Amino acid sequence: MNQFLDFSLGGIANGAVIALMALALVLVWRSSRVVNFAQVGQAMFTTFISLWIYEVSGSWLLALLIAICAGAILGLVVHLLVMKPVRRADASGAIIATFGVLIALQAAAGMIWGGDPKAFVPPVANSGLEFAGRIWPVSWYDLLIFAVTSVLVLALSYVFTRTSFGLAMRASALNPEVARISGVRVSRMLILGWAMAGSVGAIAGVLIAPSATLSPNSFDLLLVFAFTAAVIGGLDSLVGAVAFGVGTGLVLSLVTGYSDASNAPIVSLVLLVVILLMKPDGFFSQSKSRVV
Amino acid sequence: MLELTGVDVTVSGLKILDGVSMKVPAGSITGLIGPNGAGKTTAFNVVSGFVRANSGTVTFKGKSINHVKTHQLAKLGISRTLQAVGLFPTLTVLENVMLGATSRNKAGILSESLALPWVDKEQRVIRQKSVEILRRFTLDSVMDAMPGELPYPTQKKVALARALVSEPDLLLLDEPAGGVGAEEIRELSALLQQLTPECTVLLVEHHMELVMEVCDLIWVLDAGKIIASGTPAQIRSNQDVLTAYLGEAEVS
Repeated sequence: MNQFLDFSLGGIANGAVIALMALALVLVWRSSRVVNFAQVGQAMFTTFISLWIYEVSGSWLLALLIAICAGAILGLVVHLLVMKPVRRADASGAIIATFGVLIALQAAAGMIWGGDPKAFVPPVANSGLEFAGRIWPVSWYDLLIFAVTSVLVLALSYVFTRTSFGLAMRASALNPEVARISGVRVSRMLILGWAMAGSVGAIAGVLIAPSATLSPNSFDLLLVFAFTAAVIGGLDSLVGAVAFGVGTGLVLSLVTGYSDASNAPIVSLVLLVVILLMKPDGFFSQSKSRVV
Repeated sequence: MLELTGVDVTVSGLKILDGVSMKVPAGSITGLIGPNGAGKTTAFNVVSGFVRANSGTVTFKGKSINHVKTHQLAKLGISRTLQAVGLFPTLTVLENVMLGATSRNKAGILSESLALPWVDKEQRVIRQKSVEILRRFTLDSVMDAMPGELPYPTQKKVALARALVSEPDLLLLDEPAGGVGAEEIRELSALLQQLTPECTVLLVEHHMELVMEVCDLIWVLDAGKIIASGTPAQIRSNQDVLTAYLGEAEVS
């Protein structure tokens, strides 16, 4: 029983980071109806920048802030230089282009920072907390991840549901032409969607880096897990992304704990296929148009 | 209020509008009629910025709007409905209408996200105005519903409420009576007459009874060209219109 509790708690902590990356995927989807497979590449790139700032300044907070800004800028650059021209030609081409961006970013990172894994030291202790006479598989750092994820989700939910900007952003993704008639500057909404997603992805990158090592390909698995969570959650739902991000982390931790870590990606994909076969729209989607 | 002068639109070598010149006087309900394919919706699209004229000018309140972008029209005071209802399927009725009111929103994204007090007040005003117009249209009981749950005529009313909530100076209505019943058409007729003279209306409509009842001035478009203009009485008795638009059988 204790072992189950340990695996579960550890899984929930990992799930919070998966949830953040899933949120980034949802933000791009919400603004431009594209699944951005380059999201983890952008996060990896900004985490390298963040690590460099951390090594130079010694300030984790400054490194995080720079990562957030760099994430927004990189999101904007990817949208303006690649996605906007590609989307004009063909909508499905945009999704393939995101893979191209991912490969390009990984290659660029390899050339700049090399392929060797680098360690990113956490700002607070990342070892299990001692409480009630035992060591729990949750650290101060995990609690920090929870806090950041919770604040971000609440802030994003507020912006999307309570502000004109959030309403305009949702409308732009649903029907750009009608949104324009209603006075919404759709092109600006697209730019902001990509920039916001870039920042959220960058936060996820900085938060997950201390739990693993940082290399050009170190976030690849995170993409698989985050994609699973976002799609099962309904792809346009913030709540769905977070709930299933944490849920995916939990399931994967149990799989890793009771069998082997190499089974995790396979279980993730099986989970995705099985749930989509039963519920093609995901759990929190308001749209009924997706078909598997 | 609105004036089109010598507007040409050619798509893939086909002339959709051919030197269209027409005026919509301020405070009037002006009709634009013509058989299917005459170019009425294209004329609307030129005014809305969806289609750019190959030549000619479009002026609103004396200023050219040829190069104005679609999203800027709402701020200028031009609002329109679409032939297809065009509601956002996953936004509630109230949110759909609120979106129409946001064009006059002055708050920036940052100040909105920080929920500054004056922005909060602005949000409340937008919400209040949207609720009021829904009440006026007796739609307040469905304001939390999704558009897809409502009957088609009710969806059309919501679309009209969204177009009116920004208090436009010029309202472009694209077949508002299409697919709705006699009762709703009577309501629409009364509403249009209440709107003027504060709001000028340009109406594209196939329902001739409604057009003849509410319009002060009618322009007739056939195969991309204006073939007649005048009061409903003049249009009714215009031989060219009767032949081209209503057809020989109707004339006799």
